[in-house]
Amino acid sequence: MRRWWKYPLLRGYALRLNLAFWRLRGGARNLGFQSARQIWATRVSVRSWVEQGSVFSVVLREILFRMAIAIGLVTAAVFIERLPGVRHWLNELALSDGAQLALFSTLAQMAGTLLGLYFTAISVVVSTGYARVPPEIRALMIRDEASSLYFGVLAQFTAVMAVMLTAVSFTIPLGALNNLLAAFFALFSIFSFVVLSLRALDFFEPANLVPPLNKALSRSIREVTPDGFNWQDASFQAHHQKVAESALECYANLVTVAAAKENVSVAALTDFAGELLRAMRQYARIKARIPTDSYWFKRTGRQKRWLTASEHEVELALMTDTALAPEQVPDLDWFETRVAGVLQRIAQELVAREDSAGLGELGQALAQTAGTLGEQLAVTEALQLWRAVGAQFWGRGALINPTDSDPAGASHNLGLMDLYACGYIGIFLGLSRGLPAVSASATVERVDAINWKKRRTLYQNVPAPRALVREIESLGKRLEFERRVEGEIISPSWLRAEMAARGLVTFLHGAIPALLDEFERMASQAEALLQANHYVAASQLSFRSLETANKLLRHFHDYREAATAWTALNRSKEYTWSQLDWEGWQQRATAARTRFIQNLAGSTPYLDSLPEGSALPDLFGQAYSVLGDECIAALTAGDVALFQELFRAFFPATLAMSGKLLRQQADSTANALAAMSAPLLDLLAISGYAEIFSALDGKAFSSVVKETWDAHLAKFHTEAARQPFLRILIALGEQTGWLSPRARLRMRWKQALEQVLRQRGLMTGRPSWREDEHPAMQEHADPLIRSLAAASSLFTDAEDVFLVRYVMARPEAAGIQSPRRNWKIDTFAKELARQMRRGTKEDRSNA
Amino acid sequence: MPRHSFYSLHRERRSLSFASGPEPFGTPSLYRHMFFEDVAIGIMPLGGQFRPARLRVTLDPSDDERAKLIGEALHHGRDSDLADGLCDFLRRVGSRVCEEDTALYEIVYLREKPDGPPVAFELVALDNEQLVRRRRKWFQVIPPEVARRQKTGPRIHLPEDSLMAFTLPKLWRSRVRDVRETLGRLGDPGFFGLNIEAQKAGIPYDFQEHQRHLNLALAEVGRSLGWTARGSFNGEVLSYTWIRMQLKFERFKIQLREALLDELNAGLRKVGAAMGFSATIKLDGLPTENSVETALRDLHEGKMAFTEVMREFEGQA
Repeated sequence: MRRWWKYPLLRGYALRLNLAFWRLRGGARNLGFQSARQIWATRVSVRSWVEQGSVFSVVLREILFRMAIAIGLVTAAVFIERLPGVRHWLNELALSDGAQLALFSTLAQMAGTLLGLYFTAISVVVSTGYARVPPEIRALMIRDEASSLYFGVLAQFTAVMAVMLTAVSFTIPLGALNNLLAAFFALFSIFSFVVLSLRALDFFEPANLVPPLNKALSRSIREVTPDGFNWQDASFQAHHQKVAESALECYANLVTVAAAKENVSVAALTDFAGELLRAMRQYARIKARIPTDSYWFKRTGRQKRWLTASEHEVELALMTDTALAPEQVPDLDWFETRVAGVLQRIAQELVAREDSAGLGELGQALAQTAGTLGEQLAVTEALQLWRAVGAQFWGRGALINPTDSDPAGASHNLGLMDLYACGYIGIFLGLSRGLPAVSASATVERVDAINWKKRRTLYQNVPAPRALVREIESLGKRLEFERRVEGEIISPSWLRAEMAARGLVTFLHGAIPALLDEFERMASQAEALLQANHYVAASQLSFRSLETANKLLRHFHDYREAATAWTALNRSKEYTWSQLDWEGWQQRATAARTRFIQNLAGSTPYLDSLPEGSALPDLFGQAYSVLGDECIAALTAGDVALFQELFRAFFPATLAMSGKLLRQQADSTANALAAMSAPLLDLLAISGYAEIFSALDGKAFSSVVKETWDAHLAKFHTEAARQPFLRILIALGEQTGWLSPRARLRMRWKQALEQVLRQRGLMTGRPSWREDEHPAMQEHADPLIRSLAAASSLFTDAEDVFLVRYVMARPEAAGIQSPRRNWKIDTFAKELARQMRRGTKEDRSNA
Repeated sequence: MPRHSFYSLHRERRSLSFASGPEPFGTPSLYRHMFFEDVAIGIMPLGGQFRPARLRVTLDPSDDERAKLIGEALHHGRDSDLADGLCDFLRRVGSRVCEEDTALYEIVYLREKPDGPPVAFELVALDNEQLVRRRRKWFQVIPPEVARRQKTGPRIHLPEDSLMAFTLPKLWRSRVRDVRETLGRLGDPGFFGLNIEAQKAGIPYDFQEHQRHLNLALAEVGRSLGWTARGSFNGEVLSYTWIRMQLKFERFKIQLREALLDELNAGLRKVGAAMGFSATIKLDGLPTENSVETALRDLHEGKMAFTEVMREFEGQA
């Protein structure tokens, strides 16, 4: 007996060995549920009265002025009545004894008529606009708070008048107060009728039925958080889930109604989407406060494995010769799935109606929502929404026709494609904004702030991904077990913070690959557009995706920093943590970026044919500039295959660009030459860099360039035909003393080369007057590199390199003289010749 | 000293071997059995290739022959060294004292000739059910039929100098009794039968809740010793909690081992008096109470990985 009392938990277990315990507890729980249900029903009624009261006050405010005028008129009449001159005259018009009866009768008839009229108004709306809709939508109109109130008041009015007439018929005297009451009802009903019957007509617009739906959604969501009544009770959770699901079903049905031709209302669809996305944003902010095991999340079946199922279940199944019962797991994304379904429907309908403006509105709302969801660390949910409607946006690219007579339409479709990419960018920008809320220090504070004895404190009102919520819930359960056994929590607080940090790492482990999956999918979409010859769309998607890649790669830094801080909290090294493959992810993002660049290279030749001066942006110019930069990046990265692909697209683009600029400046020869020189100088520079990087790394960039140039020059059938072109190229090499915008960009390429040479110890780190400050420089085997690196900064331009090594070395160029002496080219040529003669130190010592 | 075959020597045994009858509590419950087994396995490292290299069992003063003699006596006369013999003996005794509070062994001397000097000895376990203590003397109670068959009286006197007694340390005695008795209540949980019965009667039986309460009860019962029921509830707590319990269990085993070793050495003094030697068994290389205290501190402060904290206790079950 002593032991029996000493071990309360053992007692608890032993009690449960008795079936009577389970029977009694079942009964107690049922009783508790019934009481809670009654309390809930009472609360709902009270809230409904309060809301109706607020509607009443709104209606009252609306009609107060008119009532005041009415009362003023009556009062004025009373005063007038008392005027000495009028009193006698009015006395003659005094009502007979039956006047009150007549008045009541009339008012009663009027009340009945108004009731009928209002009901008719609603019926007309229902029978015309909503004849073939599910009953839930019709119920929305009937359940409208203002309508309910008005019906209530009218019914009350009619009833009061009936009572008064009955009293009068029994000759029961009714005083002035009753007359006043009847008058008040009459005034209220008349003026309210004007307001509310107009409102009834509003129901023709399905969008006006949305507010009650959002209200129901919002209330249901709130009720399953710790702020709700009986929030931990599975029955209440399931009830709220059903209410929300029904509201979403109504949304879907309203879309169907709005989509029907006879109910054409372009704004309705976008209004639905806007409201739905607003609800979605609200849900995202609150979702982390809903327990994972809440029946708010619909249950789906998952098959169990025989070898991992619990011993008890396996035993039961074997004894009864049955299969293992499927496990009921919460579908955490059911809400998002439903919302995504409705949004997809709306987007499809907008596309079907060719409503670009509507799509634009939807896209903007979606981008905003994606950002909010990202900020709330709901990345997979945001991607789910984005994926549901994304196809409707990037699919617009297929509609763009470069020779379209409606360039504004094409421009609009490009804008829609931009919105598609913006939605994606919004997700990871939001994620970056949301991460500080779960930084390592914030996580430690959050975990410390939890009162583990109070479950509601597990669900704080701050962003939290589900992985973190799960980890905190698991901690809560384990610490509760610990507390019950030990009488207090004995685990150190650092371990709790560690577990929370583990949840955050798990989150990132799922979120970043999900983001990358989508990014790769975008690359596939761009490729599909290119394959289908939608060059404009393909290039636009590529441009936007390059921007996306740029931002994504930069934000990787934020994510990585956050993850490093979380990982530092792992002191026990006891639990398995998700491994974050930053290098792998970086490579995936870079590889996807490369696909966009290749895609761009593929579409560039066709962008040249876009009509000039159209409403479309200068896609060809942008493609040309991007390709130029990417050629340099490919050289720096040592990627010969990519360089080959890009250079072969860049070469004709340069010539086309040059021709284009020449045509644009045709009125002035001087301007034309200056304008056309910029692309050719770019081409010479990139060709020169290819020579330099070939010499530097021993890669075949130079061959790619020479083959392309040779192929181009071979198009001129004779040497004489080639000479004018070569003469122009040699003339371009001269210094004009004018720094054009493209020259600034070429300067950047030059700086990039300098950096490479310095990093490899082939050039000094910085210019210095003191010889002893120069670090020991390495000597490259190639004379070209030695000749370039001879000075403390790059003196020679890459254009000069190519002119000397290729253009001027061609036999046709032998007789071509530069109009003016180009001393930079000469200096470089001499230095190159000197380095070739001299060889390396090693060569000299061998000699 | 010449080597002897145990089986060819004359035994000078006073007690009789006979079965006591059925177990007083019936078949031991699953968790009780598990607990005794865990004490037995964990009190000393496993032998042979699994024995940690750091373990050193020596005889003071050092004497290889005598160490071999004692080792064989502790190991049922099997050919084994002192370390193996000691590990095996302490495992058996540790489990027994947890099960019965006390374990008595008769020191049986072995002689080449019935009247010759003892050349070896062995320890014969005595069944506590057959022993009574009257006027500070131990007797073996012989049932009438056995007494008739063996031609002895109803009681056999077992002199103190022929006995080795092992008992639970005072500090742990009541706790071990509590654990032993309460684990008896946590026998076969019978979830399955309950489930079927509840289904038939339409009663809302929740297996998972019941299982959780079983785990709670196990943790509550094992808490005083730190016994984790082989990790039955590890999934319900943080690693910190069950590692802390495990360290407490290590402390219990260390104290039990030291107490039993002291009692064994006291017994060896009796044997030495009869056989003309004086020797004490010394044990080194195993974790001490200080190791446990350090590990507990490191665990709490999170100074190192949990696996590192437990590194010293590896090889201890």
